[in-house]
Amino acid sequence: MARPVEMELRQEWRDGRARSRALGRALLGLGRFSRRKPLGALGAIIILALLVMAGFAEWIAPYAYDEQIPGARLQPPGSGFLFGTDNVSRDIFSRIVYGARVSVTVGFVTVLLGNLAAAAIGITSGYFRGRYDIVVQRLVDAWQSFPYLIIILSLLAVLGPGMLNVILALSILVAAAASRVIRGATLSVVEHPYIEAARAMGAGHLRVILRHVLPNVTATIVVVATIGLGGVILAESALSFLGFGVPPPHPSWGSMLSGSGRTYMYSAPWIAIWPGVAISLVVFGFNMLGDALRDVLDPRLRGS
Amino acid sequence: MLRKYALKRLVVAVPSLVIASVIVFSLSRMIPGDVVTLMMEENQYAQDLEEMRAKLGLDRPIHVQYLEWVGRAVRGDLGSSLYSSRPITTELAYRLPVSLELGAVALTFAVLLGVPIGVLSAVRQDTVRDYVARSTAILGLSIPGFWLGTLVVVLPAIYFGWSPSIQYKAFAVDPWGHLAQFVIPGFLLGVASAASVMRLTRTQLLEVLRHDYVRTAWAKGLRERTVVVKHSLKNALIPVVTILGIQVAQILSGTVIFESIFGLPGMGRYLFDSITERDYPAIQGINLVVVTTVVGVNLLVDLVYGWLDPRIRY
Repeated sequence: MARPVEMELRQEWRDGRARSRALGRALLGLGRFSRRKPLGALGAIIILALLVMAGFAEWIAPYAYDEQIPGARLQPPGSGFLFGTDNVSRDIFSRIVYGARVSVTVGFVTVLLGNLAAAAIGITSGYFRGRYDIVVQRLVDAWQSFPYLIIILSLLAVLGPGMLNVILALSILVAAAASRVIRGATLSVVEHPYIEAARAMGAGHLRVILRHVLPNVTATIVVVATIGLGGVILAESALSFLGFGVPPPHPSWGSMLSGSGRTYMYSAPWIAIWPGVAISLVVFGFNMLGDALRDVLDPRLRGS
Repeated sequence: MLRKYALKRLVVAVPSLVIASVIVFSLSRMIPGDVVTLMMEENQYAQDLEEMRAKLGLDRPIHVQYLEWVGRAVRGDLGSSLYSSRPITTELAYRLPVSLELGAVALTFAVLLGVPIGVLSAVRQDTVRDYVARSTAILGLSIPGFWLGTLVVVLPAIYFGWSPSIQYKAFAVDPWGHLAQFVIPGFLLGVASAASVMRLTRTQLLEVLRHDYVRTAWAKGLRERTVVVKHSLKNALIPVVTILGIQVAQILSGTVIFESIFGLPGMGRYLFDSITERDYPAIQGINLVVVTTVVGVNLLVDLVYGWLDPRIRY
């Protein structure tokens, strides 16, 4: 019999080993992922940079997003200002860094809300089928037949602009589109004998859905959400460009390309260039990571 | 057999359209009360609140309003614009063709760019050319159209002293200039769709190229061009037809942005202006026309799909 202290030590040692093994496995997995999918890893790095910018904007940005620097109007990039300054003497680099916050907030909240709804709709629709499925699918069809920018602008015309309304309007569309894919994945999962077996053993619908269907469609949800993030950020920037996104002076990459700066772009093209580079890079990152995740997690979706 | 399939597709399309019309109709029911007051006071659309509510049709039971609205819409009457007081159908008759022209140019570019690059990428799978094509496609899906549009207007003006015209030219006045003004916005609008078309063409062709009958074609000693174009591409392109239906909705979204940047008086621009003017009957009219177009195109695509591929019957 080992003494208590010794047992405790041994337990601690075992815990430590298990932890470092788990960490090692995770690192190994990451390494393998980046070797197999270099473009996906590149996407992940871009997204990491975006998250860091959004989280630590105060520390990264040399100026506040609405700070008008005296005597620094329309300065070209390089001259003490990495990306130059705009027509009201604000540092464009700082505004890009703070702008990441808008993209990240709108992107993640919208995709979270939208995909929660999509999972609920898609899984129940694919699981119960029948009349319920038909009705739900017609509703989804109807939402999907609207060009997204047209219905969202119309919704915002009614609700009024602003970040919360943009998120709400975009979530509805995300939910409709994602629920289709999740329903498809659910349809193939419920064909498996283990679902029938679970039912035969007396499991209720809720239990079967949560314990057996959900875990098997999670990969699909993750992939759809990742690709959706790029789309949502692109949509938010388009709405802000048209003047229906986040109100000024809060910087959104889309609104930095419109408004009063537009007349100055002909003499100061850097006003036009950097916000677009930021949007393209981030959306590219999400698309690349989403594509790579799809190939690794859910080969069924390939080509969709 | 085809008739039964067509009927089935129609049974799916009609409820979608009905639900979509309910969504469009609900828009004006969602206007907050203070906005109705604003419309009366700021935009001076009515003398008092009663008249304003009557103009929006908010003063009668909801089902009566809906049925009346749909009934008139079916007869081609979408009501009158609050801003210009002209019938919305008249306003749209002038603007819809502009958007359709822009959309057609965009769709043409999407197919002309997407299909050949997709074929090349599939036939030379996993070569440098394939990687370049695929990365470019994802880049094409990532670059915001309004940014490309802005750069195309701004950069040539700076470096070459030239910029694409943003003054609309009517066909009757300047036929050549009229057609030419759609080339640049149409191309930019088509880029994102071309990327989707390219990706689907590639995956579909890759799948078809693995079939036995393609191996047979190779084994017969046919040239690569014959195997790819005559034997494989026909089957690979069938699903691409479906994605074109989806792209129509994408492209209509893009018209809002490109018509604003390039000064084209189309439907997207009209929507934007109507929102600025709080012209809700016009907003509803535009939405109804747009959604009917999309559902109609998708029905057509489904029918073409069934005709192209006799195996499809669901």
